[in-house]
Amino acid sequence: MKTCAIVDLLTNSKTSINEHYPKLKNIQVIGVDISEQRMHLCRNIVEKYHVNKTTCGDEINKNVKSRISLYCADGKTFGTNLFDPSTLIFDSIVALEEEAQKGERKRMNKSARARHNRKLRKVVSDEMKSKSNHEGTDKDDVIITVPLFDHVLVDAECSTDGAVRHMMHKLKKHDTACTQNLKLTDTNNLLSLVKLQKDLINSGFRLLKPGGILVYSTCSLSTEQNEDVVSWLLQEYSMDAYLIPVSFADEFKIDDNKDMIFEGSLGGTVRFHPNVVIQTEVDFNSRNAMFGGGFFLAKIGKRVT
Amino acid sequence: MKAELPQHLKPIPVSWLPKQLSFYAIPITYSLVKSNLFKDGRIYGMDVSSGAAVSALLLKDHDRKCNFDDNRKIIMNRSFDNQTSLRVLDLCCAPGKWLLSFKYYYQYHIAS
Repeated sequence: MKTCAIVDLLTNSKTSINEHYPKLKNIQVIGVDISEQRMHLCRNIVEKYHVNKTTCGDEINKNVKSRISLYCADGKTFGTNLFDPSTLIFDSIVALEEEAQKGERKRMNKSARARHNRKLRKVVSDEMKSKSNHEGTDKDDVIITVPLFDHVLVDAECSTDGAVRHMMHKLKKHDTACTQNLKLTDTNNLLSLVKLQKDLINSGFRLLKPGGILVYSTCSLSTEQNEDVVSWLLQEYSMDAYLIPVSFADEFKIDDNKDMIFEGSLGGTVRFHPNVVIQTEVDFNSRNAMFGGGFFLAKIGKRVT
Repeated sequence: MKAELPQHLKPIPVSWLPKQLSFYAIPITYSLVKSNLFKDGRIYGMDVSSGAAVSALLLKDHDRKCNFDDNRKIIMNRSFDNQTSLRVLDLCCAPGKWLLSFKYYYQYHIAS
């Protein structure tokens, strides 16, 4: 019902990745979200685990540098001529430099803020310059302005009907969003939500490198927002996109998974049914504890042409 | 964490996700935010279903074996031998747990 990832234990094995990328030196992770409020929270979390010396831990592997940048921008147009480069609100290299310089001072004064903004602008212009020329225009004649990505995650906005814990929390507060989920039940609302999801997956796919991997996910279990969106993309990019079938139940040989993890109506996609068992201390056991919220995911590859 | 939890409530490793991702189930009554491990940045909370998305995106462990045509085999065998940098994009990233899981996964799983 509740899970966490333990950072320290991640050092236990150093296998798989090395086989795929033996010379890897730099990882660049870019996060985009449209909501200023959510992005503020996101920035705090990234600062805690990546910048702040007392909470970010020791950098165990000095051979590989990771950089995280955050844009408070519309995911539908990110990385194209339609997106505004000044939406970069955080870059971990700039943040780490400033962390090293600032010493005791907590707040930035006017000139420090101006310097900060100049640095961020330079990060964006460097990013755009590093785009190679062959990564040309998209089929909708949208010009892509950033280098393409190896991995893209599109966890689209959805009607959140699978997020049971979140819904129960709302129910306690007598929030009508869970008893009248208009995003799901009102036809027009649902249509505009599905349109947004198609625009997001389309945007993610056009920013994907040939040979790269995209995962589309939602915390809804409605077919319109999941299988239908993925099928639409596969049709729209029938020459380039293909579904990579995944399964979480077979590989790990746990029979118990069978009533929690299902194949979607589009073969090769996965649906996780929500775990509604409340884990009190008394009945905390491995069977019930291992599953979380309702969730859908599909893995899509881009052909090398 | 074991020290912070009563004896009978040990965190349980999530068996259907690869060990490298280090996902553990904890009792709902255990407050992550109040724990010292969380305050020190040594753990972060994430729904296990979201962990599945990370795993599908970065790893091949869950890919079902199927008979791809030759064209697809070529795609699968694309060589990454000379790639020195890797770019990852998250289009609806808040609150940011996924960004962290990408960073930790890549940083810790490359032989130094």
